[in-house]
Amino acid sequence: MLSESARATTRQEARFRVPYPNSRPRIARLVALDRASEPFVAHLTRGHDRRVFLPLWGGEESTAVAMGRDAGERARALVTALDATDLVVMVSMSGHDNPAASVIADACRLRRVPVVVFVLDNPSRPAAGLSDTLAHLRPYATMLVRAADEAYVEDMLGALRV
Amino acid sequence: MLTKEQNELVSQTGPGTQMGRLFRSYWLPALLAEELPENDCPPVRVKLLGERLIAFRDSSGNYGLMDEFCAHRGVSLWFGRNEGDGLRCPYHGWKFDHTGQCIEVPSEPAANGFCQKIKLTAYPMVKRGDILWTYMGPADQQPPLPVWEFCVVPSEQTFTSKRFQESNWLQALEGGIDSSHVSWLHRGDIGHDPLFKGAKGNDYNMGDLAPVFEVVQSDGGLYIGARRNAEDGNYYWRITQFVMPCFTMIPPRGDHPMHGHFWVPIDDENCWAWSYDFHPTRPLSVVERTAMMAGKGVHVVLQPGTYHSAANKDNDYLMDRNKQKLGMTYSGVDGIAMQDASLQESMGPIVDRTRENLVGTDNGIIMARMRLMRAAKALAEKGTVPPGVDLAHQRVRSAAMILGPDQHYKDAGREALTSVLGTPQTTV
Repeated sequence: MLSESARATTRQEARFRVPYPNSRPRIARLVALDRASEPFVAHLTRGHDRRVFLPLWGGEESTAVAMGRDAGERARALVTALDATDLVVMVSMSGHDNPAASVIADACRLRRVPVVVFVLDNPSRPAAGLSDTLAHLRPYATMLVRAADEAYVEDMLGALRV
Repeated sequence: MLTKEQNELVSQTGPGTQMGRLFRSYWLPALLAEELPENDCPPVRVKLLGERLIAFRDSSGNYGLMDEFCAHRGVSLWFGRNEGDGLRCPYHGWKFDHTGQCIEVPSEPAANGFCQKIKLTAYPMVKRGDILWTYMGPADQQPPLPVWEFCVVPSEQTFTSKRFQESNWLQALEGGIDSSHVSWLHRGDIGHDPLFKGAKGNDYNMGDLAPVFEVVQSDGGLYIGARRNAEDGNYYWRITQFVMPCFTMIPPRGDHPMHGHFWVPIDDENCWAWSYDFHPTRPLSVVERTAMMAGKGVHVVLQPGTYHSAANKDNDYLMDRNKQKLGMTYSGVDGIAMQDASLQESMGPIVDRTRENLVGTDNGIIMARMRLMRAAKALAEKGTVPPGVDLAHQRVRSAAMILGPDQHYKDAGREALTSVLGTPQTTV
């Protein structure tokens, strides 16, 4: 007689796996940590209703978290924005400053929202810039990805179901 | 998650598939050298990448690996007689040499040249370390022989075993690059297994159950860095190597030998889990080698005369709920390798990746799949030679190290992550 494990792991038995969804849709907020990566991040959200672009740099007046605003106001707005957020995705071009990262990460910590950080390799910047960017962002990330190209970010988001 | 189409792409390695073509770009472990121990020994059935083959060693010591079935009427050459310069089918006496060339058809006059027109598909097979390696791709694209450190160090410094696993190759490989499960599944073994215990790094493993992963592309695959908190704001890093298509190397612990795996598809629902241990600067001790042969560390206890583990799905992996309850083993299954294999086999022959929910600690798995899919497509569409073929890509080491918060392991660990024969490993 077949053992329980032998019987349960056949191809035939795989047909009887519960077919219903095992997770709810997730909402991700995508943030460009520097101006250089903002067009790319905006592009990532187009056509995806569960990816919400959180503009920091574009000068959209409706954006209370924009870099030009008062820091306290920005932080409050961020915490509010994270209310319906399952994941925050921060994107940075290597070698750029990331002044917003700590503010966003603090807000995420408060709301217990995981943070994925993508650092895009920027061949035009010195390697030291990449190390600096990684070192700066490392404490904030629950997942830190050094991406060789932009397509990796898109694929990674798909793999994470956002 | 992967789409259904992506899951099929990464899982299927038979002839004519994209991933199959990728695998056929490399030298792969086919057999342990001990399976063909002497000239004229019995032939051995081998299935690799969905192809049924027969391996033998002729009177001159040539290794042959060819189509298992006689070209006459399809008899398995496992019944063949290993005679001098070839393997003879016992049905009607057709004989094939180690290149698959038919060299005798007794019923036909030699002068008519019939047998010259008969040739079984055959692949080169060579011994390197404890392993017989084969290359199953186009002859004109055959790469140089592999130079993995574990198979080029002196024989007293290395040990290799293999184990049959009843799952698709990729779900087995994904266990090999998933450092986060160690603190859970193997927590009962890290402190006790003779090939793991006593290392300072174990304390960091158990002290921080939520490692943060930083995965970086290497030339041949990926560096998969798992970061845990250490003292004084520093980080304990464990950097696993993944080299395309199916090589993994786990970071060492203390002065224990380094170990890792090849995950070689047998067919789409089974694979060989190859496991090696080696020390780069000293012979393995009697205690270490005895432990490896006894199934400790990444090795398993085998059923005598086979490469099937003694604990397996047919006996429910000898599940011991009492040990599980007492915390002696976390899952109730004994031994690190079978703890992994039991869970990977429980997913079914080919896991349905459309239903998974990946998280940050799955970073390495996500990127490995992406690299594999990209390389397979680039090879299929443009003929691009995939990563891992270049010998420089094989000269790698895993490492464990303590680094400051501002240091990145790829830069700070550049030397530690490169194999230089005779130099010490970097370990904690």
